[in-house]
Amino acid sequence: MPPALERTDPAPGVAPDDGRLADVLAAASRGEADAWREIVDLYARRVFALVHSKCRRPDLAEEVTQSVFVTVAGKLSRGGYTERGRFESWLFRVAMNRARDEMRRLARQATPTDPATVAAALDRVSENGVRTRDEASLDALREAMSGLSEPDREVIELRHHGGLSFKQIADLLGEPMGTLLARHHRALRKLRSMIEGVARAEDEEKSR
Amino acid sequence: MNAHHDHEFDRINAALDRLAESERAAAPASLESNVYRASRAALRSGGAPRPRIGWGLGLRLAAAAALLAGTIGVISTLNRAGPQPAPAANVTAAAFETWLALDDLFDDGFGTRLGVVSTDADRLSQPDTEEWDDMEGSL
Repeated sequence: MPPALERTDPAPGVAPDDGRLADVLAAASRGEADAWREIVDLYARRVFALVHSKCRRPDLAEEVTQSVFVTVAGKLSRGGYTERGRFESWLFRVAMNRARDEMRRLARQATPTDPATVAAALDRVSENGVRTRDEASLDALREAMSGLSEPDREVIELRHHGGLSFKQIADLLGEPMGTLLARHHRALRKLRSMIEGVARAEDEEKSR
Repeated sequence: MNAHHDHEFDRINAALDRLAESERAAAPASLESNVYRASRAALRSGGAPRPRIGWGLGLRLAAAAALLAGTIGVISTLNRAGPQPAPAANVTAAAFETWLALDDLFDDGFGTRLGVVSTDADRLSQPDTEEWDDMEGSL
């Protein structure tokens, strides 16, 4: 059993040391339960976040996360993981594909979001009647994200929810780094303008 | 934390990180255990299938080996018993018996090849027998 991997609590761009990750993966592929548990501990929550961002249903997100890890475990032990040194890209590619399939199955379309919808999210009150400004702004951001094109949104989700580096995302999507960075930049700008538009509208409303 | 070095998106990046954190927090506390339980069986069962000799094949191989050994024994005994009429024919006939027995055991694929072998062997044994008959007649 290789030495324990440090849990890189999902800070984007911070990946475990490749050599140690390779050792743990090799041990897992030989069927060593402890090694597999480490892989699960390291990545399950990040995969969950990615899927949950798309479906907004914790039960479904957990189900999809489980199926992703079942697939990955099977491929690992059958020698189906051939992209040495690119485990995270591979894992999140499986997750993205599975999440997409699930979304198609549910025929859930991304809802086009206009500023009014975002504003409604800001005004939404939680069940206990108390809603922090942070919760409201996260809801607004979530709504704004659903207004992004699918490719733009994917980059944001892989980067922030999946915690992948740009290089890993480029590997995963098979796109040049420059294209990817430009897309990320564009998505951020769009998100910012949507959020700021809502904030301005609110300010104007209050000043009347 | 972002690769973009300009600061114009710092706030939105920070907000996205908080959003991602809230998505992770939406997972049940038992997520990792549940995922582990669901997937560990796949890790065990997904291993490359190892070649395994089942009882059926093992028994058939053992039976084939026993038949072959028996045949060789019979041939040796016959050879030791002195001059035989058309020993080549005897050997061929014994070999046929073995092949036929093997054919029963391995009913796939052997039949065609056995047919060819037995035809060839018939052809081989025929002149020997005739030659022996001729020799007997001349005596």
